[in-house]
Amino acid sequence: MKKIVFLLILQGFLALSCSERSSGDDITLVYLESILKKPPLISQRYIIVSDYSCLPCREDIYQKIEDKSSEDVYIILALRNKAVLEDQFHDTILEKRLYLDSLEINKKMVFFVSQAIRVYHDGDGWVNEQIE
Amino acid sequence: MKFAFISVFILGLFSCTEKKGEEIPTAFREVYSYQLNLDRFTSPVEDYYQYVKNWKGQEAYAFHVMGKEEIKLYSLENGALIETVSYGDNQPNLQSGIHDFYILNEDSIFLSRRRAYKVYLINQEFDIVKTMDFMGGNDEIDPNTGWPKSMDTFMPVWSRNRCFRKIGDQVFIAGAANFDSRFPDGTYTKTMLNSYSLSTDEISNLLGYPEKMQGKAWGGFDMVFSDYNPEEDFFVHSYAADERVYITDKAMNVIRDFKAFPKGYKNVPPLTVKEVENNDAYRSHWQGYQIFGSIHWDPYRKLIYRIMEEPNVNYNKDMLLDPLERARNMVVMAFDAKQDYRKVAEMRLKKSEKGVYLDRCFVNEKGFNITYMDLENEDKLYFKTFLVE
Repeated sequence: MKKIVFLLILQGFLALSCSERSSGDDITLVYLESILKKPPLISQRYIIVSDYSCLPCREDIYQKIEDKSSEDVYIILALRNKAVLEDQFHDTILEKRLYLDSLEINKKMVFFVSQAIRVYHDGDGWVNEQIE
Repeated sequence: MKFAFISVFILGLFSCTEKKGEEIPTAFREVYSYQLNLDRFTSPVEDYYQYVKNWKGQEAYAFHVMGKEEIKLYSLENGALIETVSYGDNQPNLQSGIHDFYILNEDSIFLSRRRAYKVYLINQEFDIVKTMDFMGGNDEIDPNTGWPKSMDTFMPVWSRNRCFRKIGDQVFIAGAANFDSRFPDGTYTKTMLNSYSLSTDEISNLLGYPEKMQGKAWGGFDMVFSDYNPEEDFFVHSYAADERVYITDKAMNVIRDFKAFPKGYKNVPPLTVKEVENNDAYRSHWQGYQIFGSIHWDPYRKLIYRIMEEPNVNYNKDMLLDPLERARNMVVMAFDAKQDYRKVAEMRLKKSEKGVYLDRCFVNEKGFNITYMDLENEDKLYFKTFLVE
């Protein structure tokens, strides 16, 4: 009996810890999946930034996208000017290193970011980090 | 007995309201509508825009398309794109970081690189013919705040209807103070409007807050909007949280001030401690009160127009830099200089799911023009023209 209770508790614990890491329970991961059209990769870092965050906040990130030096995958949401961004980051979009949320999926999911966030898997689970 | 008392009380209230009710003799009437056909790179809500009375013989409206480093001018007559001024492609020193712009004429365009505290004047060959340095030789950035150390230094910003005018050899330019608007320090400076002498490079801080607003923190209400009347050589100023309008000379001495608020206006209080300390409460203070906006002198009809925006109840706190998210129902008022600045018209413009009016206005011969954006067609931008009749 004790064994069964222990197993049940263990199962509950595992289910809980799995759900923390699963894309099904975290709106950021659900959003990423909607944009990427596939689950986010554990080996990949993702940067999500709003085109309506303050200029200094997004300037460095846009510079990194433009320089093509970063290996991160970028998602820009709340686009000020879709055509300008498409023009500016044409190659990076083709390389699938940058996704523009031109369908405003974030609005439908009520997912907004004012400060850019970095999303990555640290081996234990997915981590959301605000970028200062 | 009780009923009679209540009736008399209610009657008394009504009679008071009647006595206080103002009579507005005329009304605004929509008389015309301009339509711009925007190209794929021009957003209808670009942050930087300007009415240009004469661009190579045409009445125009200009937008700064950031990211492209271009200024695009559209004809008000037929809505077509007249010209793209590609300053980024043609001037290697201006390939990034430009925000505000001001077109004086085809051969003189001012461009602000805000974070460098510099404004450049370029000619039609894209040569930089003047660099206006607002940092000052003796000042430096304080590493703790990221702002210049001197209280007199300001960031040259004139977007969102703030002022930029060239009068003689002087440029009058709005500035953002080097202080966090959560605290009252900035209200003791005079950097809201400044002058810069193009001949001597001398900078003078001219306009601060009215005395009654000093020593208090105003948060998102830390702005003044101004216009200039060249015929009679005076400025008009509208502070975001002040019911009065001020008329000043070029030295910013007040010549006249008058009450200029709509029916039902309630004074905006300064920030409370909670609003200073809590971000959500701070934003709620900014969005939750009526806020005065742009002010315009109409030289054709001798009127002053003042905008007031109503509280914005449904806003997304992460999207307040989006002009559409910030857009509110608007009240437009007209005050007649020929009638001692009496209010002669007032109208309310409501936003809807179909479209919004934006506080991006200009005056021309036809009347007072207010930006209207059709939310179902972002390739067009409209200006609705109103006259007081």
